[in-house]
Amino acid sequence: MLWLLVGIIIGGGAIWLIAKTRIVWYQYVLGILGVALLLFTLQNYLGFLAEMEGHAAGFSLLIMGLPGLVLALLAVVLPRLLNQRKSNNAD
Amino acid sequence: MPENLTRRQFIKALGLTGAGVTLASAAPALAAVSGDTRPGDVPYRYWWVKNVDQPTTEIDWAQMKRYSEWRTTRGSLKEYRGAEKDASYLNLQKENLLKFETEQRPGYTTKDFALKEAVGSGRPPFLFMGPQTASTPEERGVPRYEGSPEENARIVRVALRHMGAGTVGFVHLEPETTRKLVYDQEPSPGKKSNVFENIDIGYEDDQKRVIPEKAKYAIVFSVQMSQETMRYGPTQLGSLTTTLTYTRMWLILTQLHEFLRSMGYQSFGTSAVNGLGIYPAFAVLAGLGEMSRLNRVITPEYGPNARFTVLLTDLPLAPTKPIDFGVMRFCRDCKTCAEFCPSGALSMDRDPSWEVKGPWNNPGHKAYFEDSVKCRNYWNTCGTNCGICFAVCPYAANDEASLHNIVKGTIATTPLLNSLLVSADRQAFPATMGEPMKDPESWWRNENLAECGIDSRAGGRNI
Ligand code: SF4
Ligand code: SF4
Repeated sequence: MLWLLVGIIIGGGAIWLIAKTRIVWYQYVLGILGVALLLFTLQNYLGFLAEMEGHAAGFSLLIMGLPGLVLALLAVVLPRLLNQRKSNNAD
Repeated sequence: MPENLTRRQFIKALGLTGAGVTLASAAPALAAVSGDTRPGDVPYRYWWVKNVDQPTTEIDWAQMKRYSEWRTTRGSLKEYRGAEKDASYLNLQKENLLKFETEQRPGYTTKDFALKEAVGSGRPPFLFMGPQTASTPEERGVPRYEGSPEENARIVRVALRHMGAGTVGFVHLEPETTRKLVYDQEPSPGKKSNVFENIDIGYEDDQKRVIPEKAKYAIVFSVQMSQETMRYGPTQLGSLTTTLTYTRMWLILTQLHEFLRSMGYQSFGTSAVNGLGIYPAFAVLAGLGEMSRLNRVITPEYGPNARFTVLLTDLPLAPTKPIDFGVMRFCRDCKTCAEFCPSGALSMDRDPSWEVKGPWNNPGHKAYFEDSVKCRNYWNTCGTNCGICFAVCPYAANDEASLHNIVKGTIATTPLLNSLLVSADRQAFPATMGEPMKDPESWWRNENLAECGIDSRAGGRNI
């Protein structure tokens, strides 16, 4: 059930983003990598908790969740940063 | 690439890659998809478990002789450490256990003692040929069960699994090789000889236990131990992991005796704890696991957390093959167990050796031999069996988190990342020298525990 909900949210989000915004190729790359890593983190986090391994669960958030989050955030903010730099250069 | 990959295993492999990240691609496995279990398979295995013709432990059958169980530290510890030292260690153990319970030290509280006592009770007696109470086909007026060795193997597996066993494999006894793994003499105090004779019906007298030559099929099975309670050793709570497993194992063994009898066949088992034969060696030859730096077996399904036993029968059974999933290669780089062993009993050498550490080891195979006396001395000091080496082993993990499977698949495929994986494991599962990995009191607060502390789906099964 959890994975069905996660699938619906990610699928819905992706459709909305593609329809409403202009996505550059590297946003696809960063976004897909980031979301894949976040999903992988979620599975492992829950798995470690089911194994009663709280420390390992926290560790998985740090070593996989954090890079996943950074990649996903980069997908969102990188075009803005690049645009900002372009307009600064134009000034 | 796996030699024998079943359809189920392939689907699992695809599921793994579907999870996103795997260092060992399942794509080459496409060519190896087969139907269901092939002869030689222990079924329902992960794709990274490879069948091989020779075990990953080198064996020199010419050098190997039949060994007597009573020569292990279970039977001859007093001789190995001297009577005086032995008495003082036993006294220390008694004093410490009293002290720890009086202090109500976590893991040694009265409830921990009580649970250990409880799970060790209700064991059936050991009987060479089983209780012999089940009705035979003859008594029921029907012919005995007949089937091909492959069918028989499947039926025994299904029956054993239902009785509570983990994995099941089969070894054929050959006089010049595998039969040497049957103990020459049984454990103390009986020390009865195990003898093979060309007779029809086996028997036991005051001196010996006679096994018919035709009972040359060894059923080898594992019984899963709790990964969870093992993490609380060295304490009474940690040590009841093995106590409970032995209780379950002996019940299963007794039921297996009766199952075979009721099918119309004979069976011959141990008459004491760890008797009949060298179980780890049988487990390796049957493909249930690989030897390791622990000088114990590591299985793909349960890591080191499994106990093994063997029953001999005249029911023809198709043998299973040994396996290679990278353990012996990984142990060269790992050493976690040896570094965390408080007594320094485990080998720190990079490679296994033919040289035994003492008369408690049986020569004739290349292994990481351990100083068993040091280990036993430590058990007396902490009052109970320790188990730290099992708890800290990277293979001692349930496989709810998909990362475990990816790591094990990577180890089985390449040794290149071994050192990195060892470091990551130590960060994720930190241990402190001589201490339980987890607080024993926290276990008693958890009311959502698995039955018997085990996961019957472990190893990729879906039930
Ligand atoms: S049980 Fe304890 S003392 Fe014995 S080898 Fe393992 S870690 Fe060392
Ligand atoms: S802890 Fe490491 S070296 Fe020891 S048995 Fe396990 S894998 Fe091998």
